Amino acid sequence: MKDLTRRSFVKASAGAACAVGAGLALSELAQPELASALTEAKPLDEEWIRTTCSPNCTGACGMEACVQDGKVRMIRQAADYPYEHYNPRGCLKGLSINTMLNGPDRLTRPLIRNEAGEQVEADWDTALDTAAKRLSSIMEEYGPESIGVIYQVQGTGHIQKGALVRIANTFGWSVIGGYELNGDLPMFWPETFGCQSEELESYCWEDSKLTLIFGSNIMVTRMPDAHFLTYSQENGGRVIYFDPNYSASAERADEWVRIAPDSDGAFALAMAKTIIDEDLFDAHFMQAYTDAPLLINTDTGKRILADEVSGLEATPGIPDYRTSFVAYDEAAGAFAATTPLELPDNSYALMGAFEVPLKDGSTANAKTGFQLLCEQLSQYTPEEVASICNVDAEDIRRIAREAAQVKPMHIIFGGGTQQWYHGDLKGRACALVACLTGNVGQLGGGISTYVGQYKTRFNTGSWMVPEGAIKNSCPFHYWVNGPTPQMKAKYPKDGFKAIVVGWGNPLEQHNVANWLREQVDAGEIEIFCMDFQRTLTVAKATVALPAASWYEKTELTTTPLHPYVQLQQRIVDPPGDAREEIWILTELANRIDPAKEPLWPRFAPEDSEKRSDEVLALLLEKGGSTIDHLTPEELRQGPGKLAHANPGEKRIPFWEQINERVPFPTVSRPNALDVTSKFVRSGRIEFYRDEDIFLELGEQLPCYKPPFEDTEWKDDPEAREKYPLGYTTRNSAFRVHATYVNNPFMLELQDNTPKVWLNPETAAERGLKNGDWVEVYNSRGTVQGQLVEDPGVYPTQCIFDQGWWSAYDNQTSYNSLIWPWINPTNEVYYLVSVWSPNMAWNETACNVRLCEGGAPQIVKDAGKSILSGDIPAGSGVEYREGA
Amino acid sequence: MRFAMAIDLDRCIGCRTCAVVCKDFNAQPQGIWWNRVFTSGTPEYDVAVKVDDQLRMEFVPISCQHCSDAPCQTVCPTQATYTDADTGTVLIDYDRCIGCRMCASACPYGVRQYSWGKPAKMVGLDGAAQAYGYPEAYYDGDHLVYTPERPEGVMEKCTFCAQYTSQGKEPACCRACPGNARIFGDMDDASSPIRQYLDGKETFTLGDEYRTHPNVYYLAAHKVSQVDQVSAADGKEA
Repeated sequence: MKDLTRRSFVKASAGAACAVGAGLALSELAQPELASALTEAKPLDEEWIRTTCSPNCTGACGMEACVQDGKVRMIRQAADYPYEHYNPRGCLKGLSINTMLNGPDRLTRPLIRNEAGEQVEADWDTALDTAAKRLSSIMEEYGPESIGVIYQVQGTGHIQKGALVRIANTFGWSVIGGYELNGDLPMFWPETFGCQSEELESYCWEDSKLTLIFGSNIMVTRMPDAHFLTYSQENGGRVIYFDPNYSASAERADEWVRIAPDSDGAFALAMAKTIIDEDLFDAHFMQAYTDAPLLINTDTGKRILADEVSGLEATPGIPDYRTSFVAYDEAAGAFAATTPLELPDNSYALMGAFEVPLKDGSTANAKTGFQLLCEQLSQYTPEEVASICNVDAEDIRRIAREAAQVKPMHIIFGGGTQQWYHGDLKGRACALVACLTGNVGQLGGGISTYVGQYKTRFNTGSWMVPEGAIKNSCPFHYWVNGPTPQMKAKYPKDGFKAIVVGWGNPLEQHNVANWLREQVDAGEIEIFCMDFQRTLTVAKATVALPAASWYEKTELTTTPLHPYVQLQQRIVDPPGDAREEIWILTELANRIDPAKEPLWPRFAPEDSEKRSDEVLALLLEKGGSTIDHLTPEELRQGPGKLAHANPGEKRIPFWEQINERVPFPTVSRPNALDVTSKFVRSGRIEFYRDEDIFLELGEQLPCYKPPFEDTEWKDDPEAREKYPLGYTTRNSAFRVHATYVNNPFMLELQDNTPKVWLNPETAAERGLKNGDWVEVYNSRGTVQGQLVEDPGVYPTQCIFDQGWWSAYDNQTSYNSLIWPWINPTNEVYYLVSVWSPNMAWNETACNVRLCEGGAPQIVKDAGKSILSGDIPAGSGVEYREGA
Repeated sequence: MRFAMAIDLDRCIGCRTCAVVCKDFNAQPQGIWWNRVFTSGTPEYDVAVKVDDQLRMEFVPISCQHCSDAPCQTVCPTQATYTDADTGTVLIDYDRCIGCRMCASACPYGVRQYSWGKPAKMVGLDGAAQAYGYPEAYYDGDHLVYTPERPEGVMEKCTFCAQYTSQGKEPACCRACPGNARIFGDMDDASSPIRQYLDGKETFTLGDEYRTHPNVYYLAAHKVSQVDQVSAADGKEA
């Protein structure tokens, strides 16, 4: 591989680093020999200042902004990461947000509702007092937990966004975990590894020799990281991409496997069976690190406890969230109590049936977990699975062998695969393949999930959890479904009465968005929000407060995709009356309860930066070993690298478990390790779950369950006929969820038009053709769009690019079709954003028809988000002429 | 010295970051895109196209090819389009351009962009116009080859970011490509980044039949092995 990157053209000398200081980033150094030709342009009287683009893609890309007349005029990637292959980091959206910072949709004045119910502009005192008074009275009448809090990924902003968590904890408002609400919580992680999730940072991708991607459109959803897959290919690695639909990621893969929708789990199980049958598995890994050797009572389905067995005692001194189980030690020829405190090498039997003498005098019939697994896998022969996946058995075998033999092998488990009702079963099956092949804990190996990414990478309690904190949380699922009998979460006794929203747009972006709008319109719920754009949520709010964008404040960011801690900096002032969130929330806290001032010392708005700096220093100082070596001064200069435990440049997930034999799980911040350890009581990776509901549903081991049977079709048997298509609301290249929807450049690239993708056959069956204005519908709602015939779409699928504001789409909302199903296995425990009901966006059936009334006016001026002048919007882009 | 650009299609992910920074940095008005990323065989984005019985999504970024024998220059009646003798960059002098659009007809690549009427301003807060892009005019000698305030009725196109390359900096698209798929440099200098990158690699240029001798070199993408019973079944029916 030619190791050439953009930096080779413009060679920055080492001495140039001296030019960096006081927030001023390094400007490019010229390559003088090239400058001799054209008349040299006079260098701009410009200032390029570094910040971090960190919206809800969670990518955290270092940017530099060119400021003129107090406004951001151009943005470029900072390209200053010490690991050269991370440069340049940043995509088309972040690089063009200059068109939105002072765009027509920018929220610049506080808004309140007057007595007539109309939204009017107000000064800050009036707006804050109105919000404080209303919130206080709701808290008094219904309790603080009746106020839900919707906030954005912590990692994208610890200081300002963290202030919203702090105020929720100050008053005991119910945090509505966005991670589960958005379907980002990969439930197989806590179920198998006991942690929220783990992943390779993207620079490890180039170390993989084989990458299996299940339903993750990396080339679109992780643009700044995507090239690491290319680099792995240039290094001789191979990428196999599993997706029912063709995409940019299929195009860039070495092999595309067109797997039937929601059948990835069956594929992985058939891989596991092949790998075991052909003796290609890593027995040592399964013995030492997983629950494969633990004995299961085949009469009860429960794991046998050491304390129950005649002649055995549990490991002494284990905490109550740990359990000592039983294995058969082949070397000793006797049963053994397993220790949950370490992961020693052992000679435990992986296979076998045993009669285990119990202390009560009875005998338990037992088999090892691995024995049961192998028996379970007998139904997943490649031949059986071929028809489920619509892939030949020989292809399954071939890929299984390759996955077993090529190392390091890395599985990327994507949202397209995860966000189904039985997404956890698929994840457990894929995790099984990663473990059978011994790839977990290796550089460039293992399994990763890059959906959402709430990962908290250092200790944040010093700021987010104030003294006397009251921590409440409740999943959005229960708000919609109502409490369930198995619910472990705490539901507000009178339900939700208000939501406080930061940087979010629930009235467009939440499932059942229409239902939520009706709740607001009916006065059942009130909204208090902070944003920098005039969203529908802002328009429906009781009080809306104009906040700072990420070019207008100091903020501390991290991401799971790279190891660098970075700052956002106040490059320009927020326009109009917009202010930094830390000031807004400090004022709100004090106005709700002046007695909270010790927790929320007040300051003038112009001192917001000073206050942010104090919090920054606090967070770094108290952040623990991953971050406490970094100083604010360093971060003002550029990225600072987080520390990790393993030797070598790149962090390796589970390195301590595999090499230092520390029991599972890894920590899921902000929770203490104790809190999550009970999810894997054996201290091992657990493929066998013996909680009652898992046994009842036959999910004690990874298995395959088909889509819609337990949801749509169970709910309405006629739906099988009426709504035969699966509805996929994929991420667009042109938006981060709904952010950038009103970016004029992005709108031009899409002809200002929401679109619906169908296979040509599916379209023809419905009498539809390219360019038709169609309606996607089910019993819950409808969304419209212009039809695109795409042979890359699986014939039973319908695709809509999520994130369009309904103002652009005839007031229809793509989220109106989607229901938050609750899988009871997700209710066995409740820990916000770690073990919780989880959103299964793809578990939605629909159908498509011609929109009655034909094509509407394409909305050209929603939010005035277009260019003015004589030229009609969108006319610069021809759409399908003659197609 | 001969400026040239290499576009490695094997690294291109079709993200259009190059197109957007080009538009932003060069203050291109609404509807004007000097640099576009097409999917071969369809005018739509994010659509697969059947190529030899396989589904493909072949991304092709296209901007001015800076031809050594540029037909746009030959047909220009006012010599507004000219080739910079030192670098081979094909440029348009906005002061000389009369908007006859002969060049657009002559260009086989369709990369010349023409604003009909006065270019619109981008609407900003409270009706104010929003400015973006390189803020100052750039003259090559006495040729006005870039200005953020476009004159009415002139042709425009990629200049290899003359305002930057003249300072020894990369064009904006090459600097910004997240996949490092675009490499710029001097083809006459064996030690230049582009020559080093291309060393030993097979390249192709677009529209060789037009004998324009482009200075934009493409590297082909790899083929995708496919396990696709849906398309196979379609094929059988057909």
